[in-house]
Amino acid sequence: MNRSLLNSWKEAWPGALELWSRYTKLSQPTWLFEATEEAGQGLTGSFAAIRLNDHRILISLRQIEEYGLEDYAPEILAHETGHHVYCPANLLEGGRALAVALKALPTFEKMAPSIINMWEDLLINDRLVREHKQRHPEIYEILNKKSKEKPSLLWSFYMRTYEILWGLRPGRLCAEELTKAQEGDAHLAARMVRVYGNDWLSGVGGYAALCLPYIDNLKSLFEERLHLLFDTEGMGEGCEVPLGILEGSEQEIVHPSVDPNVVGKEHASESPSEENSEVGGTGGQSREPFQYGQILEALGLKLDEHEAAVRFYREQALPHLIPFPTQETEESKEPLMEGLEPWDVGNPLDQVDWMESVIVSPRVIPGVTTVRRTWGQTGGQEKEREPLDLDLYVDCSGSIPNPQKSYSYLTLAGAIVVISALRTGARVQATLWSGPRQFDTTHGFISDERLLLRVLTGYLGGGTAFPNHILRDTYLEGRTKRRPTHILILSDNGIDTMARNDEKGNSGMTIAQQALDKAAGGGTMVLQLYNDSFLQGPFAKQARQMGWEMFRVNDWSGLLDFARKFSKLKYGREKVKR
Amino acid sequence: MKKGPSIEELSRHLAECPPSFLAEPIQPNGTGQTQVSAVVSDLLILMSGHRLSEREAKTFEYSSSKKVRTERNRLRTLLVASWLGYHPKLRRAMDPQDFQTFLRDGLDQIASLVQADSFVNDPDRREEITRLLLLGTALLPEGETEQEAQDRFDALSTVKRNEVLQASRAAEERARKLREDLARKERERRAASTYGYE
Repeated sequence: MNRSLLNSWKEAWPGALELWSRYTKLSQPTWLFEATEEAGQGLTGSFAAIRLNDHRILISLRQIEEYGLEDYAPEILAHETGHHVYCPANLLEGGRALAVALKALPTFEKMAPSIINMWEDLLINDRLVREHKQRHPEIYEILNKKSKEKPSLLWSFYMRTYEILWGLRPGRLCAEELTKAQEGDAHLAARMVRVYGNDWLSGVGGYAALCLPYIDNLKSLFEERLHLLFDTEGMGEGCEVPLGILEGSEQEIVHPSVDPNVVGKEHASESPSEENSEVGGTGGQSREPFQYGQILEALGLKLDEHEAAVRFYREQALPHLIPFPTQETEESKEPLMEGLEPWDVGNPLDQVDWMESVIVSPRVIPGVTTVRRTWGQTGGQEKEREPLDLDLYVDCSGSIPNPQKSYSYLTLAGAIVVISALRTGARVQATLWSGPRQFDTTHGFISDERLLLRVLTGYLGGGTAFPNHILRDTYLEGRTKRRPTHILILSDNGIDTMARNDEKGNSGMTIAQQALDKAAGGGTMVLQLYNDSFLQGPFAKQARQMGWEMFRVNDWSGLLDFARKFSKLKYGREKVKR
Repeated sequence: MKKGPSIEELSRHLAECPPSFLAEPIQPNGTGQTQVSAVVSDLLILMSGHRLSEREAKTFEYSSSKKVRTERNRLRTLLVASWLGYHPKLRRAMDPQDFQTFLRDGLDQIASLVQADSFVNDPDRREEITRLLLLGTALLPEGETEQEAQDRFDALSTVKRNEVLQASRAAEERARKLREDLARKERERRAASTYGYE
């Protein structure tokens, strides 16, 4: 290990921080000296990286020496700091950028993080060169000389952008001859850097759109030079998934050559481009759960497909939470002071009744003379509202699309109701069902949101047989005294298997009727149906007569209609009769 | 080439352009607030003691009432360039004849592409007109070589950019089609695996 190199880089660190602001505080970078250390820290390919979890910077001094960049400590350290304080700055913005870039780069999802990194580097480096006269062009010159491969067109376009940005002699960074159109693209990219310098996220889609033809032209998606600069790879490792990643990703992708901010109103296209029609644009969304998983993976968050789907539907449901039905109880409970008991040193300090403690002994000895009040309950004058519990049955037979792979309004409806119920203090039992004896359940009423959403977003994909036995076991057998419960069933026309007898020969419809009565909180069936004929059929008529509410949810408007009507259901106005 | 002031200094001066230099040039029908030829003439008197002749003054006015729309931006750009010319160090460094020639002939092309207000409000355009004026009056920005000054101007030049942007705009059509084709292929591929049998 070269001790003097380490010392000189350590000395450059405070200055690099100060370039952004004198108030910037980051801990010293983690200096890495061996390839094994780099691999242990997840630093693969690049000589530097950032980690948002603990706001760390990783620097491989081994590679710095290898590439001959020893003299560029202020540049490299200030650049990495820029990723922490300017762009992406946090995981939420990084995630949002990815959501937009994925849309602009269909089928090239793997390249999206690299393209965003290039965009971020343009913004950071331009600021450092223009405001602080840093020597970033020299770094690119060194890297270009070191690389043995012929640069790709993407790289040449990228280098030409820097030449334009910094007014460098043509050919200093981009040795290749570009066509007029490619030269124009580089001018557009350079202009974008200036236009979106204060709003980096807004430029991501346009920049990615500009890069797409160059990516399509790549012989291999792995280019050593690009990878060498990929210092935001795995930046979210160890972070929690932030909420709101998909927010704003529905905006249309505007190519910079028709972006009025970049080329001026007079040169921008008057009519919106055809691609606008791709986007729903009415509050619905075109994002799929698997795309959400791709974003999380690209951020360095290690979640499986199922867990990503849980986060996806949770994020989608949160803006649409509804007032979950509650019921009025006979009377409220009010606290009643019953007496005093010793206060021990292990008890919360605010529970000490100081007046009573002083009366016991004017010389207060904690744990000996201290006392606290004890409280009982008495019936109050006011009526109290109590949430209904929720019993959820989710159909995941083969006729239902896998919610982990494609957007399911049915699953979203379930997520909205489950999270709304939990917010009011309800407990929820969730059962995922498919064919006979094919089910997964929470085994009782729980408040664990993640576990409930895992059941909701699960998939079995087998036959279809409503689990009458669970309905029976929950309401007709075992413990009968429970909070009023609302039964919610998410299914399609396979719900009519509810009419079949259970394994003991009991009539399914009788079980459904008795369970609904015992649950005392009403029942709802949310069905994914391709037409209304099922709702006019004998099963649906009988179910409605029993008191089941039925909703058809196939699309966004159906979902909103369901949420609106469900929140107004009148179970809450009925008094609980216990 | 003679040494001139730094680009930063001149850009800053331009950013502080007073509203009167962005006012409406007086039209043949008398409307408007600023007589551009008078502003230019005053500046030349300050630089060399010589005023514009009547014939010269005409090149800094609307040529006819029919050309108000087409000549308006050129005259407004002239006003902005005049404000730049008022910078004390630059005023002393420039040759008055070069400056007058630049004002007369050097702004036509850029004024046909860029709105005069952008030369004050947009940092890139501020730098562009500053560099254009320095090149047009054979001055070198402080701290730059001739080659650097030319490269930096080329990188900013709206005229040059406009040429290549036409080509880029045509390429955009192809890029959009590519994106739509790829997106359609992706949708079809996903649709085939919607039910999770993959």
